[in-house]
Amino acid sequence: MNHTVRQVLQTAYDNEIAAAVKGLQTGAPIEEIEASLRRIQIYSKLLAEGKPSYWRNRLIAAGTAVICLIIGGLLWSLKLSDLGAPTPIRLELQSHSLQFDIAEPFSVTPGFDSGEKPARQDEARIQNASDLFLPKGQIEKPTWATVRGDHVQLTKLDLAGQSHIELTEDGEFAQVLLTGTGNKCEVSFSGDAVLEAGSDSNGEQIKIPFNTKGVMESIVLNAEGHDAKPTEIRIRPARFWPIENAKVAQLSFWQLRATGPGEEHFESAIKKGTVTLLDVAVSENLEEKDNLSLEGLDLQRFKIWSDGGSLHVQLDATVKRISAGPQGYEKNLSPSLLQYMREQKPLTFFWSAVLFLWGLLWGAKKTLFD
Amino acid sequence: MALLLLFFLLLPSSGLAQSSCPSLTPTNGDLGYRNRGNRCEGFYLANASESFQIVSLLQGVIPQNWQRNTVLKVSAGASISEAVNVRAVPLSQQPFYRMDGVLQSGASLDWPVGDVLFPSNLKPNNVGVYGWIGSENDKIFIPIRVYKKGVSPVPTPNTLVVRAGTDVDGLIWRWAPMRDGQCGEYKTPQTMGQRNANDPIRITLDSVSSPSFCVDIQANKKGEIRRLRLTLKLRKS
Repeated sequence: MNHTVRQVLQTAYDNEIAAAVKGLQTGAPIEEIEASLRRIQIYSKLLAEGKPSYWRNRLIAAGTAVICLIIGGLLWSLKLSDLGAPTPIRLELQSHSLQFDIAEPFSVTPGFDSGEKPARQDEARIQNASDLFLPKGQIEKPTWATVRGDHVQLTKLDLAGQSHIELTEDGEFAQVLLTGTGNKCEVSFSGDAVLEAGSDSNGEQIKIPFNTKGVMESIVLNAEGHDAKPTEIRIRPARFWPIENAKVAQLSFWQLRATGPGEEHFESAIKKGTVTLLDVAVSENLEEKDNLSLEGLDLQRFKIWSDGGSLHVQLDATVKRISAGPQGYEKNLSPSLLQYMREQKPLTFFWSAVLFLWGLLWGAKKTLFD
Repeated sequence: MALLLLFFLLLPSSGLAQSSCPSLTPTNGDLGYRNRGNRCEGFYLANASESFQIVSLLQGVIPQNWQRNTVLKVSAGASISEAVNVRAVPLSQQPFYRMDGVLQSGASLDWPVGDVLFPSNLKPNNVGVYGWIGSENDKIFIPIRVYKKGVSPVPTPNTLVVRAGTDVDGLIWRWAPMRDGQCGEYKTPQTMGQRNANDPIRITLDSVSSPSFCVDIQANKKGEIRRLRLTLKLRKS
């Protein structure tokens, strides 16, 4: 029986009792009063039949409490990444190596420093260049060059869009691996130096001594790779100038580690770092060899530099999904909906909590004590 | 109907002319950098740079004694078969003035000094002009001739002018013939001593015997170990 019918019956029941009482007071015929009493009995029976059952009431109350618990549990356990929402992060880490794809053309042309003669000669080794232009000497299609001298530096990195770059630093050498069409680099040297160059295809080789008397000489190369291998530039001392705000599409931190004779496997190159989830102001520390996966990376700020011992990475970005942790124990770092609401929607969080507690307590009271 | 069609045909072309100017931040007023019909010209806002910059590559000199109604003609040599981008800048770093235009093959550009140069009191001896062909990342610079309308230009040596935004010493320049689009082996450097920031550094290219060549200018930032360098690819016209 629905609520409206119950109300109509209740009103009729109340009116009938009032009419019977009035009849008795005014000396109405006894037949009328008896008829009125019979109708009262019928209304009473009908009202008793239509009353919600005891178990039904309890089921509704328990259901309300359970729904409140399920909603609370979902808010607690569902991550922003599960809903496809981007997570803003700040990442600061040190790594032995990192790899990234360049989405748009990018160029770095730092200056050339020619201070005191270093205790140990600087050195640059170039391999698998698609084209190599030497400052002196002719050789048919050179693909490699090595220069050792007083001052040897990477002075230009001109990256075309859609190129892949890998930076590694092992303490002694900094290494750049490049693949992609249209990449150009320049290695410059000054002072006393020896340049060796050769061709992998015909075995031709030259060796040229230089005394540049302070003038910079440069080796220019097209770094698109050669024979399906990336172009490799190794520079000593190991140092990179800052690479800032390049439009980077992918970013990873892997290195190839020898595990036995002829055996190698990929492992995390991370030394240490911190990921801060900006939405919820929570920081997560990264330990050595922790894996870090950044899916759907959209960078706002990006900087890589080297201090001669580590590669440093600083970035602000949004990611579709971020997971980190030791190999096999990576966890999704995206904040839960509850964390997000607490930090970003405090008013919504407050009223949702009030509603949750009221629903839970009301349901529990009705179920257990009514 | 025909007029309406003409209006719609002209609308996008005038918009294209406006948008074809490089994106600089113009100064306020009539002398601000903007489209002026056959070129973009005026003053703009920018930050000073300390690196070397090319400011002029001229065949001859810019005519002196400007009047408000003087119209200069700008052209590249007849041997250049492609369109040449042309740019005029002050020899000093400031004010930030620029004129950008394009010379179609064999054509010249009218440059009325009354629009910007004369009202702003920029003197002919403080203006440089250069041209280039090729892509933005691989420019080949071309000497430009500037002469008064109605007066035939006199062939004179090519002069390159660069400037550094900082005091420099140990200044040298050298040249190398181009080989497969790249700079070949450089000749012996010529020393030029030291220069103050923004002093025009004039290099006469008489001694260059190759039609296509590279010019390499190097110096130390005064008092520092940092080496500044500018390498340009040039073609005689």
